[in-house]
Amino acid sequence: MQAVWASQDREALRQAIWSHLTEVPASGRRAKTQRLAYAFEMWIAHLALVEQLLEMAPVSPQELQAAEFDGLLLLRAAREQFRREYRACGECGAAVKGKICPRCGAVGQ
Amino acid sequence: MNAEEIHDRAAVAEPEAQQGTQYFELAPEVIEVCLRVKGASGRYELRHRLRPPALDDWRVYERELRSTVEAAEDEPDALRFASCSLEAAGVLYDRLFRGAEGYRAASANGGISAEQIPLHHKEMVVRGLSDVAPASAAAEPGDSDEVELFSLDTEHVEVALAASRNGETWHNLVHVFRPPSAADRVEYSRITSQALYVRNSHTLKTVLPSRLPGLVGLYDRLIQQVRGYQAAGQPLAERAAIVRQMDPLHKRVAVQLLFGD
Repeated sequence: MQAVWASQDREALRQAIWSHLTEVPASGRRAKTQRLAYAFEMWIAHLALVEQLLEMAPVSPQELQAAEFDGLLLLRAAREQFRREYRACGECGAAVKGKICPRCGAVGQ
Repeated sequence: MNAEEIHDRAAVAEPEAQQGTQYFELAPEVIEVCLRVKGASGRYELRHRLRPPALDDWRVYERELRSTVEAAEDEPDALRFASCSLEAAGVLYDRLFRGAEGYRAASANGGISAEQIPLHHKEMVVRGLSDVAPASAAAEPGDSDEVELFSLDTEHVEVALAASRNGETWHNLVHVFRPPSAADRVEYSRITSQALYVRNSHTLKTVLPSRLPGLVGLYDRLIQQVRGYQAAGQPLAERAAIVRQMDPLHKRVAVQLLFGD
């Protein structure tokens, strides 16, 4: 089996970010069956930190690596898609795509 | 055999009288680690003589650790961390070995070789080499009333480590850094967040690379002064000397502490 840097595999990272955003909390009815590889969890956390720092403090573009720019673009694109496709459950706040909340079972609009 | 104690002793190229306890010596010619173990037929005092490990030695050690993280098969939400610490310690020990006493072997013509030393003894010796951690006031016996001066200096950030050697502990090994910038924070996060994943692994296996070279590089960029260390009997004063002489494991722990890990 082949080992690959999580930061360098664009397609796998895109899928991992989407899973990260849409995962259902473990207490839900549809508890997630497959978690992310730890390598992706760490890299996504890094991207989120870089994104926050960029909002607060000046970091020169030369300080960031190409993999970080790509990752930040993937993160923003995934968030946009998430906002279009999901809404917050009125009862528990969990992300809901259809009518029934996967965590608390509340039926929404 | 049960391990009772590990003591390591730095044989410095200095007169015996100058081997004070005030400073932690960074440039010993040889490090002597003493294992006191108890077995079925008595007690043993096993002395191991090693050359001091350099950055390359620790890099090899970390590579040999082959640290991985996987989803536990019986509990999908749990992570299982694993590493080959015994094997890695064996490789490091063999690189550093200079001699051993306290062993008896029929085939030992002219001394004991590294290959004859039991692997778990090697592992205990290596553990004795890497005994450094953040200093904790609570861990310092008898000094609970001692107070530190609150620093008003915004030009520097200090962190304190504790390290053991020769059965002695140094509690206030201070590293003074320039304040890290946002770019330094990003660099630290980048170093500690990079990992490989194994494609098509049903346990979602992650391979953790060595963080040591990156953290040492970051330390070397940020360090300004240290207190409590000496090299060949002389306190470390110049930045260049600190970068050159400081123990890589002390660099790693200090920079992790600087960034709050």
